[in-house]
Amino acid sequence: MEAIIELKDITKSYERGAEKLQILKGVSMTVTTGDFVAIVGPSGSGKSTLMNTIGLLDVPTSGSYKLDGVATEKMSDNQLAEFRNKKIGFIFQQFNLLPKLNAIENVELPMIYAGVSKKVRREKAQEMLELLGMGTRGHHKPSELSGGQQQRVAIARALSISPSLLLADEPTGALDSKTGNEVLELMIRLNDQGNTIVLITHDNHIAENARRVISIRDGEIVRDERLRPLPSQPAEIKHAVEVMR
Amino acid sequence: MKLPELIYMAMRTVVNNPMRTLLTMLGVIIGVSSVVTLVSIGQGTSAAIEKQYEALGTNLIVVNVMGVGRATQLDYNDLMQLEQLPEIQTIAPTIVKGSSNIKYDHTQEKYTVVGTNENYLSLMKGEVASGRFIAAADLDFRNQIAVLGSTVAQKYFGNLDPVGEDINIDGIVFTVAGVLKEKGSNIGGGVSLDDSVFVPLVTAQRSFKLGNIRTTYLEAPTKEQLAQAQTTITQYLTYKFKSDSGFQVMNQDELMKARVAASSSLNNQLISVACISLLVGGIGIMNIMLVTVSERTREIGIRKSIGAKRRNILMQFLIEATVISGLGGIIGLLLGCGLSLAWPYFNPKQETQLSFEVGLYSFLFSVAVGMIFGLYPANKASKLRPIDALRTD
Repeated sequence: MEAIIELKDITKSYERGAEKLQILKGVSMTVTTGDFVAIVGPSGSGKSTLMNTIGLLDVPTSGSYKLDGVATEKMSDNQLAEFRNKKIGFIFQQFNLLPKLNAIENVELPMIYAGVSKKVRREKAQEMLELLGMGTRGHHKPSELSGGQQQRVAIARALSISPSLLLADEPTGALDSKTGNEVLELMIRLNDQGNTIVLITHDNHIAENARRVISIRDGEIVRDERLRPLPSQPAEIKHAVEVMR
Repeated sequence: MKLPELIYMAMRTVVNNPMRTLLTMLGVIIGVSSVVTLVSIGQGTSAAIEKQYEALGTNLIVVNVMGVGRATQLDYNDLMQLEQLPEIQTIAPTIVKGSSNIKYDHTQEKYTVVGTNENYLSLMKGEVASGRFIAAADLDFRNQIAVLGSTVAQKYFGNLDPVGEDINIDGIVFTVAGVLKEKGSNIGGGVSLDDSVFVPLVTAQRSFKLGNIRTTYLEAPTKEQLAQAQTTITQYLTYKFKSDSGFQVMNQDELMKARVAASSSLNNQLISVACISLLVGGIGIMNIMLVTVSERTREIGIRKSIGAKRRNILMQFLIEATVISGLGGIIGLLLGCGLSLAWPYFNPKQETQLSFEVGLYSFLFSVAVGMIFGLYPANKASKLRPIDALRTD
């Protein structure tokens, strides 16, 4: 199996005045294509920093990180931006949709920065929204949508550029339990269709649905548990869009 | 991302906040509209001056004597001797007495009295409406006659013919010999044919105890002889005053240019003040853009996290600033054109002339202002780290 994420001895520390805060103390882990990994831990454990590192939003103090086989340590800001754009689909707790843009324009956003032509990206965005059951809401602003609907738009946005990795930070954290479950089921379905997912949560119920659970505490991995095997037939693993077509 | 798309995106943001956009643009609007208005007033004034002088004919020479006392005194008869030279056709010396009390019946007003000779009217391209102008004999006999400008005649006599009536100028009685046709424009030295009273030069010298001839109008027979005439009169005055200062010899063209220059130097100062207000408008844009950047930190974070590069964010904010200032420029331009066209209705004496180039330049200047002052906020936005930007609410 191909490794999508390879973290080796990742440390992250901040200096606050004279005090040196070490958030990550040498984290090493590998995530394989097609896996569904939940990273759990209490607040302050360093799981958000780990997620930012995996998401290329933050650079580690030391250690090496290969995403999709490419070393990222020496990348410039622009290269990181391009890599984020091509490889990672973000799903945030607060959805992070742009309030002034409607659903379809929000979904188009990553494709704009990827240089996709207007016609193609509009079609693709519409298609993604339809896949997520939001086909008729394209012209609604985020403020006109419920939390669950907003998260669906955000997921459509993340999927629009067919990323190698879906990175979700507490995707159900801002939703009630019913819609939270719907989003969770959606994530499971997306994984079954071949998307690699890394999800950060403090909710054990969510974590139980992953294939693998990594517990983190005080900046270190304290437990790494496989709940379900990796998908058996690697040949079937493709990106969601292609499968759903 | 292509430029039209960036502009479209910026337009949407700008239109979404109409009040803020308007306030941001205000400085630029005021700047551009005042530049456009002031320039068109300035150009209108210059055009009006040029028109007046063109009407005087191109062979005119104006001599101004600035010095005082005996050294620079010109004798009327000596001066008229110059008429015998081939390069000089006619001479009209003048003595001007500003704000003289002119009384008829129970009306008393102040007008300018000009003492001159028979050549003056034709040199000024004026015409007589009734009666006659000053004649050579009036100077020979020091006749107490006066010729009224059209406004003056209207003031004292309405539509009646004043010829033959006696009026009182500073306590001395003059008989009205004629009335001039309305001319409308001011000519050299600010003397207006319509608003003045003309009397024989020698009579004026004696009656009002005025000594020196200050301004003399001369005409060369042809344009070719103009330079020669100027040289002759310069040499004559240098010899007479034993100095080449204390007087000024200008032809119609030079006189016109001098007056245009005088009026445009004032206008240029006003325009530079207006340009400063454009600059201040730019600072206003920078201010608001900085506020916008900090307000939209989260948006910047989102855009960066999903793949926007520094360049993309920089362009987004730069173009937004430029669109705001460009829109301000267009609005200012329209406002300026409107003001320029309306101006003559409020100031009937002031002409205005719109200039395409000035409109274009002030628009381009406003766009440049937006770009320059947008650069700092845009750069600041582009440098935000996505992780910090995402953390803010």
